[in-house]
Amino acid sequence: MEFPKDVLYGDVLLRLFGNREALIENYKGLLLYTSEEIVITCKKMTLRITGEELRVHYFSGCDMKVTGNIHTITYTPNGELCC
Amino acid sequence: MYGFAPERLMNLLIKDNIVIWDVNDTHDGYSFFIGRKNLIGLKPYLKKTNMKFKILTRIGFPYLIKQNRKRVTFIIGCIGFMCAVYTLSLFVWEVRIVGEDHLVANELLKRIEEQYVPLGTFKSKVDCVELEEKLRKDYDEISWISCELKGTGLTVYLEEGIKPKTKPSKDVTGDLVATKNAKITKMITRQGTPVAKVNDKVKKGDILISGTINIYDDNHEVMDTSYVAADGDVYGKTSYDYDDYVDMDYYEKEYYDKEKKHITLYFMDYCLTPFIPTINAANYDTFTQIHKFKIFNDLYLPVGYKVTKRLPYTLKLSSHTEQEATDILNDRLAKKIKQFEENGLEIVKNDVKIEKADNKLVAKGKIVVIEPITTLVKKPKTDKKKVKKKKNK
Repeated sequence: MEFPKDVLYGDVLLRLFGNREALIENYKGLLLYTSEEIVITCKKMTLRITGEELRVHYFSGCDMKVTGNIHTITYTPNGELCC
Repeated sequence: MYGFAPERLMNLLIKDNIVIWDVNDTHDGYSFFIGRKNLIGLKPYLKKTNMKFKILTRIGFPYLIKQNRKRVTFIIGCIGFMCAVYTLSLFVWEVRIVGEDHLVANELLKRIEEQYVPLGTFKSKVDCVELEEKLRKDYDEISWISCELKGTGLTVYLEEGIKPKTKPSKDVTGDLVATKNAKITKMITRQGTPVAKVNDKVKKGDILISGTINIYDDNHEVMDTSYVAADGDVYGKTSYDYDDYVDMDYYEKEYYDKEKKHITLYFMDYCLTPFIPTINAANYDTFTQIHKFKIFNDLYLPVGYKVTKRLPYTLKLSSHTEQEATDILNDRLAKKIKQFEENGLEIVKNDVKIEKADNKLVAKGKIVVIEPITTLVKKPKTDKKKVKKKKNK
């Protein structure tokens, strides 16, 4: 039997709809939120989304939806974030 | 909200599963939507993160009523609307059937709507278990059925099986007789006395398996007679005349104008059409699409609108080529043969030929099939007679 990798390693799940929407699951919290940049902490790394008119459509305990004009998505190991 | 650590506040909300949505970054803070109950519990988090908030707008029905409390008619209208919706939600306004295959959906729907649950029946009067039993009795093909009453809709889920063969009861006696003229190809007798045999030519009404069983003694004289319901399978070769034609000339619809639409509002059986556009055509096709209003997913209401489209056309005389007409006839013949096969008939010979006659293309011939040819003809109930012949010797 094979376990899903995200369950084993606690990976973040990221689903993109073009560059308009990003659905993020398995995240821990929010580090920074502006309309140009959203930084999200996950278990092992930090997710940095940059773009224009970024907006958190909703967030709950398990998932979050970011909408806007997404330019880049960067993964950084936890603790190495440099704004 | 505005203040020292907005991200920290959001993290605390995430941690405690407090849902907020449409979070927007404004020049002096963040704006977002939050539920009324959650807003009351927001104070400890604000204090902890040194944040402050300001209510920009209140959206929702209670606030709407509060804002418009001086407009009495508006409030009465709202209350009236709610009462109407509540009253209408006490009845069944939609019947749906899910999973039907061979049974005609319309037939089943018609049966339910006409006999068991007419539209507008009180929901409390609908007994799903009873309805299931009734439908199961009416249709032997149903192997599994479940009725669900949700909102104002009644959904019938069903699975079909094979119709069980009805076995004649023990009290019934009778003979198996031929239903049509045929030549017997196969015969299995389960009960009764076989009268005909394989390769016999029989006519409609001839007895094939008799329900009378004679028991003979050593002198080949009838010692005992008993009457049963004859049972068995008899297959015979029968032929069907096939006759079909296609006219070479036919009329074709030619749509020449834009469709004209009009909307009809309806409430139960009452309809109201505010405006019907005039149409200057003798012939037109009409298509009507009914849209039922519903609240949420299952709360169907007896109110809605119908969109009627009318497409004017003229009839244009066209003619088929011989190949086209042949294809049409072949398609129809293939459908007929498929229908035979679906009914369990085995096609033995097919000598249908296509010929041209006058301005028609005619398909004519015979289709020879092997099919079951028996039916039980019941006899009036007789007591088991025992005929004993005393030997006078």
